[in-house]
Amino acid sequence: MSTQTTETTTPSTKTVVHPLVDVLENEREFLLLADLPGVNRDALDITVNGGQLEIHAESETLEYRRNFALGDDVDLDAVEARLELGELEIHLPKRAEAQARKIAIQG
Amino acid sequence: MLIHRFNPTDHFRTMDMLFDAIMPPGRRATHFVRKPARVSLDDSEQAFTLRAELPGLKPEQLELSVGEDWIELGAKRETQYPEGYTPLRRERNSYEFERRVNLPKRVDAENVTAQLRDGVLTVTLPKHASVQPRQIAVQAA
Repeated sequence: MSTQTTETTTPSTKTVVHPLVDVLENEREFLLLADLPGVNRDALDITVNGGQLEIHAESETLEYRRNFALGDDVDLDAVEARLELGELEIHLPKRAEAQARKIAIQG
Repeated sequence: MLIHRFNPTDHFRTMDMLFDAIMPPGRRATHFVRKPARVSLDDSEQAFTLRAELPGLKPEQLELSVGEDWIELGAKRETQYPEGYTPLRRERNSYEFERRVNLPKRVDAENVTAQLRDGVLTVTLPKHASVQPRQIAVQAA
């Protein structure tokens, strides 16, 4: 997983910042941890689109934005997130080996 | 006016704030959250409101004390990782700090309230009756 910096052109009265994150990995999944103080569930959007994971959130004072490029090995349908005490946890499970090797033959 | 009495690097923060203030928001490049535990103090007619960003902090990891015209907060957070994971990127910090904020006016220490929610601490410090604005009834002569 690699990070990409984004520049935001959206006019907003809030300062746009990149949240600080940790990215961890084990055999089963990638785990992304982000600090989002002041953000509650309703003000948080996580989008997975075209191999990109986008985090967008707003607190009373700040707008948090950050994009991540996801590898092919992430099972996009199984992504799960949790927000607690201003800390975001995103679980990005890896595709099972078998699934990755399955090749559909047409015709 | 908020008087900090702790850290010389605060001057850099002040400079950042000045630059932020003169740059129009749309043309500013997005930057990273500079450091954890950002603290701000608001002064309204009735009360001071202190706001501190403390992601991941549980109430029991926080200590607050209030005097007549000061407030002290101490917090300790350790970023812990679940076992068996290899870190690929590490930006979040553990933090431990003690900070004393001198308040420009007397507060009613008995009625101070504090709330820790979504990783943000909000302390409301009502001003002491003696420093609250008073309305004077004008009598016709």
